[in-house]
Amino acid sequence: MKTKKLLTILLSAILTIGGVFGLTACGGEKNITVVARHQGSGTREAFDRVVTDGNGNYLEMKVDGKTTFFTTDKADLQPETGNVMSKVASDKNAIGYISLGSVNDTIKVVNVNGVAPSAETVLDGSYKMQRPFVIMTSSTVTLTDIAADFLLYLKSEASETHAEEAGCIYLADPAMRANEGETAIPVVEYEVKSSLPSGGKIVVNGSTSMEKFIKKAMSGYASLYGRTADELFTLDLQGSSVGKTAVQNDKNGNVIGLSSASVKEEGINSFNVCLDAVAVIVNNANTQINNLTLAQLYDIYTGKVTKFSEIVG
Amino acid sequence: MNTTKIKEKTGQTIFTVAAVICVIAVAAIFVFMLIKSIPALNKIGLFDFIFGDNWSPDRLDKYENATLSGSYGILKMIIGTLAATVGALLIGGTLGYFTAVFIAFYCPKKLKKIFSSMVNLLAGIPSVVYGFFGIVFLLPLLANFAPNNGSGLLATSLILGIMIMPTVVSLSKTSLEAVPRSYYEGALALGSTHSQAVFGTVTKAAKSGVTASLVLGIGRALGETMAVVMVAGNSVAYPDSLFNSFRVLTANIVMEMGYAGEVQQGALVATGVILLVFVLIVNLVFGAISKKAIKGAVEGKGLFSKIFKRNEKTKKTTFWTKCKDKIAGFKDKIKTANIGAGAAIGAGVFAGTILLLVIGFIFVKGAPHLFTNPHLLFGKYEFDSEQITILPSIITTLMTVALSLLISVPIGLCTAIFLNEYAKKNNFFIKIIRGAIDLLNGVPSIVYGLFGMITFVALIGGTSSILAGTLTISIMLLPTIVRSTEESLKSVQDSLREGSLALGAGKMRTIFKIVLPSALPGIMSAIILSMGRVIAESAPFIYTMGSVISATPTSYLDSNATLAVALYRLSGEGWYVNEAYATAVVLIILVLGLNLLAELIAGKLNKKLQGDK
Repeated sequence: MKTKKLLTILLSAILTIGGVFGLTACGGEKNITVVARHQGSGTREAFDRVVTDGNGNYLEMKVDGKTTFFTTDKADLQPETGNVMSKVASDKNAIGYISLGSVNDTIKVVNVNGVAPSAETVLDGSYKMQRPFVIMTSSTVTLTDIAADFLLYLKSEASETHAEEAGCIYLADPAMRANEGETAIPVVEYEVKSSLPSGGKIVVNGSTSMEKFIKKAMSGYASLYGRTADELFTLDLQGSSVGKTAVQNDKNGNVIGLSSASVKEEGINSFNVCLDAVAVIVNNANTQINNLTLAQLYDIYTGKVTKFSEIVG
Repeated sequence: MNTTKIKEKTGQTIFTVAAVICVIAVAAIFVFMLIKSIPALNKIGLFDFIFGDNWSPDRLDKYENATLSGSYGILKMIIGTLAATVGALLIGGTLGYFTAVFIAFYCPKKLKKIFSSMVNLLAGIPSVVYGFFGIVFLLPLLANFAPNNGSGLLATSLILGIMIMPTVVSLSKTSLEAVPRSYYEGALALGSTHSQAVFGTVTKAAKSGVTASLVLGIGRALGETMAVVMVAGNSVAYPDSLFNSFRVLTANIVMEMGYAGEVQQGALVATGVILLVFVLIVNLVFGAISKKAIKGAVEGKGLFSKIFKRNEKTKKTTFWTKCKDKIAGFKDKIKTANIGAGAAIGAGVFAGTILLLVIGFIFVKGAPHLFTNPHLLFGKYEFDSEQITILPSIITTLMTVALSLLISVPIGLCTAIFLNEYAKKNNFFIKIIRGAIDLLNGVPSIVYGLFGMITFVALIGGTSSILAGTLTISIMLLPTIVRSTEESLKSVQDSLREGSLALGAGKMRTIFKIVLPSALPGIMSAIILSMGRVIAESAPFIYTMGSVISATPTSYLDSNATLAVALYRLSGEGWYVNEAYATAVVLIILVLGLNLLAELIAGKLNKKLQGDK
C-alpha cells in the first residue's frame, strides 16, 4: 500500500513541476543574450580591437597602460567556437561572433558597416575584423622528413584549395605571409615524393578555430601518398598557446603548431597561411537584424543597448 | 628460514615504498603548483591577485617585461565560487539532509534499498552529463522566466546542489543510523510520536555527523568544474543576481589555460593554488568535526557543543538568544505539525524524481540515435567526415581505465597494507601519509589536470597523450583505493591474523592468504568504483590527454578524447546535439553499470564470506 502511495506522490510531483514551468512561459521582448569568447582567445582579440563607438573607444584598449576590456559583465562567455554557435543557434535573442570558416546554416551572418565578410572584403581591408591563421614549427630542432615535407605542402599552392574548402582566405602575397617587417615568405612548389617521407606520425596541436582548415590539409596531404590522415597525424586542438608550448617543447621535430593570432616568439618559425574574418552571427529566426554598424556592436557588447528593438537594423 | 626472512623484508620494503610514493605524489602537486605560480604572484603581487577585482589578462605579458599591461585579480571569481558553493549548499544540503532522514526513518523497508542505491547512482553520474542536462533541460526551462537565457547563479546552484546531494545523503544517513536505537526508543517511551522522536532526538544526536557531511559537500562544490562551466555564463562579474553571468575559480582555469600567455598561465596555476588552499581549509574543518565531534556530540561534549555552549554563556541576554528562543518555539511547532516529516518524504521523493528526470530525459532523447545511427558506435573515424563516431573515444577510455588501474591499484593496495598491517598508529610518518592521502582526496580534479599539464605533458615531449592523462588520473585514484582498501582491511578481525600467526605462518603469508581474501569484496568494489571515476572524469583530461575525438589510438603516446571529454566537446558544438545525447547515454550506461556491479559483487562476496564462517 505504502509503495503505491509513494508512487502516486512521485508522479504528481513530476507533473506539478512540469506544469509550473510550462505555464510560466511569458511574453515581452527579452534582453539580448550577448555571447562572447573569453579574454585571450584570438577571435575575441580580433573582434574587440576593431569594435568601436567611433570616438576612440574600443572593446579592448589600453587605459593608463593597462589592457582593459569593456565587454559587458552580463555577457555569456564561451570557451570555444562551437559553444558560441550552439548558444546563438538555440537562442532567438542571442548575438555572437565566430570565425568565418566555422559558419554554417544553423546561424545567420550579419553585415558589419554594410560590408559582408568575404575573400574580397577581407583582402582589401574593407571588412576589418580579421586575423591571421599561423602555422608554427620549432626553430631549434631539425624537423623529421615527413614534418618538413608537410610544412612544404602547407606553404605551397595546395593550401589555397584547402583554405577555400574551409572558408578562410588564402594569402598568396609573400609579404603578408610574414610578420610585419620580416623577410617575405614565398609560396613554394610542392612536388610529391616517390614514397612517403620517413619520421612517423606528425603531431598537430593548437587553435580550435583552425580545425576545418588543418583537417582538409591533412587529408589532402595523406591522399597524395594513398594514405588516410589518421595514419599520418595525431591531432589535438586545445588552443593557440598550447600549440605554441608544444612547438617550443618539441624534441623530436614532429610538431606542427597552429595559432589564430600572429606569433612572435623565440624558438618558433612561423608563417601566416591564411586570413580569417570574424563573423557576427545571430539566430536564424532573427529577421530584424541584417546589418550592424561598429558603433551599434559597441553598444550591444558594452551593454548600453539591451534590446534588438532599440536598433533599427 | 632464510628465504622467508628475505620474503618478509622485501614485502615490507615494497609496502613502505608504495606509501612513500603516495606522499611524494602529494608533495609533487603542491611543490610544482607553487613553483609555477610564484613568479606570477611575484609579478602581480599576492594582495592584488587575491583582492583585485579586475581580471583583464594580456596574452603578451611576460615575466621579463618591466610592467604588466594586463590585470590579474581573482576576487570576483573567489566571490563567485563562494556564492555558488553557498547556493549549492542551500539546495543540495537541505535536500540531502531531508533525503537522508527520509531514507533512514520514513522510507518503507522494501524501498529503502532501492533509494540507497539510487543515491549512489546519482553520485556516479559524470559531471559533464549534469552540465549537459543543464544546457538542454534546465537553462531553456529557466529562460522562460529569467531575463536572460537562464544561465547564472540559480542554474549553477541547482546543478551543483543536485551534484553534492548524494555526498550529503550518504554521510548523513550513516551518522543518523549510527545513533543508538535506545535514543529513539527512549523518546518514544517518553510519549513522543515517531516524527518527534526523529526530529527532536535522533537528528540532534547526529548533528555533527550531518555537519561533517555538509562540509564534505562544500568540498565537492568548490572543486567542481565542467558542470559549472556549462551553465554559469562565465563572464568575470560578481554574482549579483540569480540570472547574471558569473565565473568560478575552476572555470577560469579550464577556459583560459589553452589560450594563456606566460604571466596569465602562471596566474591560472596560482588560481589552482588558491583552490587548493580552500580545499585544505575545508579538509581541516572536516577533520576537526568528524574526529573530535562525532562521538562527543552524542554524549553532549565535543568541539561544536563547546562552541555553542560558550555562545550561550557569553550572550545570554542578547538578541541572539531571543532569536534562538523564537527558533526553538518554531521548532516545537514543526515537531507537532510534522512539517519535518513532510519535508523528509518530499525530499526523498524529489531526489528520486531528479534521478529519473536526468536519466530518463537523456535516455529518451539519446537512446534512439544509438540504434538509428550505427556509425556513431561502430564507424571508422575519418578526419574529413561530418559524421561523428565515438568508437575512438570508447577505445581511449578503455585504454585509460586499464593502465590507470594497473598503476594505481598496486600502489594503493600496498599503501593500505602498509598503513593497516605494518604501521604503528601514532607514528609521525604514518600521520604524514594519512594526511597526504586525505589531502589528495580533496584536490579538485581540474587541479590534477593542471598538475598533469605542467609535469607529465612537459615530460612526455610537450604534447598531450593518453599516457600523460593516465598518469594524472592514476594519482587521482590513489586516495579512493587506499581509503576503501584500508577500511576493508580494518574490518578483518584481528583473531584471524592472530590465529594464522599462531599456526606458524609468517606475516606475508598471513596477509596474502588470510587478510586479503577476507577483505576482497571491499577491495573489488573500490576498484570498480575507480573504473567508474576514470570514465566519468573530464577536467583532468582536457589539457593532458586531448580534447578532440581523433583517429583510433594505436599507442599510449597518441592523444585523443575520452568519452566524457567527447561529450563536453559535442555538447558545445550545436549541430551534434543528437550525437551528444547518445554519448551521454553510453556514459551513463557504463558508469551506472559499474556502480551496480560494485554493489552486486560486494553483496555477493559478503554473503559468501559470512556463509563460510
